[in-house]
Amino acid sequence: MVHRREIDGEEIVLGNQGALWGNAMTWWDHDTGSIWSQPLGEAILGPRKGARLELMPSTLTTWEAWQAAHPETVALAVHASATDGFHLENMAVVVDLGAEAASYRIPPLRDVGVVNDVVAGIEIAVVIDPGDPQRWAVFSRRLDDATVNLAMTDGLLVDTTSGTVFDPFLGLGRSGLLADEDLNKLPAFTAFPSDFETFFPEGRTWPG
Amino acid sequence: MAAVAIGIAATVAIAVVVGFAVSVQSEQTSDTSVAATERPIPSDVYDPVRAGEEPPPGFRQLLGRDQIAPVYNPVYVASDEVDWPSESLVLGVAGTKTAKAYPITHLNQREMVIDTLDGTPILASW
Repeated sequence: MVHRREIDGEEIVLGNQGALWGNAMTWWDHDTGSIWSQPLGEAILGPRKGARLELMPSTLTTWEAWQAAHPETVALAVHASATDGFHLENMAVVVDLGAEAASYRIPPLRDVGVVNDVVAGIEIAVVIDPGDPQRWAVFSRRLDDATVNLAMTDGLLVDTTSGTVFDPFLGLGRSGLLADEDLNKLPAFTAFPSDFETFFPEGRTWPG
Repeated sequence: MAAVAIGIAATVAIAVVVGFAVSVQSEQTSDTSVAATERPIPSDVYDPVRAGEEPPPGFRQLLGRDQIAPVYNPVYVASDEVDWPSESLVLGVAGTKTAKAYPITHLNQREMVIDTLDGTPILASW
């Protein structure tokens, strides 16, 4: 997951606290020493207790699928080996919008292609890219003057009202009435379903 | 979430994790583990646990701060300069100008990358 390292516009530096909470990583910030929970992005101990970092859009996918979507990407200058133990098939996409969190299991997502939902009052869509099922994205369904309802039709991500076609991973308008608008990506991350239940006991799970 | 498994792994295989990071460093001098030591870790920073603040239930202090060293100064290369397996998983983040990829196998060892994206300070974690 990716968080914005800013509190009230001021950059903060975080390190690894070396402690687990809820079996997940914790951080410490270098200026106040407060301790943060990774999955919540929230300070749980110390002077900043209760503060939250903004979660940013990111994705977990294969190197091949990421390169295809972002040919300009740079790569962390390290070795990588075959990924062992983590497979998208075992995970869920988590959307945490503060007031409400929801998770969407990857295998049934692949079956339907897109799920239109409302989380914390925000119309969202969770989308699997038909061009590569290793790619997923979460979008806001709100545009400037419309709220779209998305469907996967013949391998295309289509707004059922206007007929507009959007790129299923980047959200860019491709053709149709609203083609000059883009879907905005929302922050989301992947987690094992059992961990979602630990950190978001009130959270909603799709399919139910 | 992924960090859960990492955390558990860290409890049973600290030496393995640390040892592997060292071996990676020696294999490839451009590895960001080299840069991790460049940022002096402030030593006098408040620690709520040591100060006696009551941690929430289930909180377990297992290692020291930064004993699993975050990547504080990440170094990047063009995508055609790495030989990552095409099916290996990456954490990907894209800004208006820049897209970055972090391989999961490296995040498994280092867990955190203190980074920026188009000038915005970010933290990539796993």
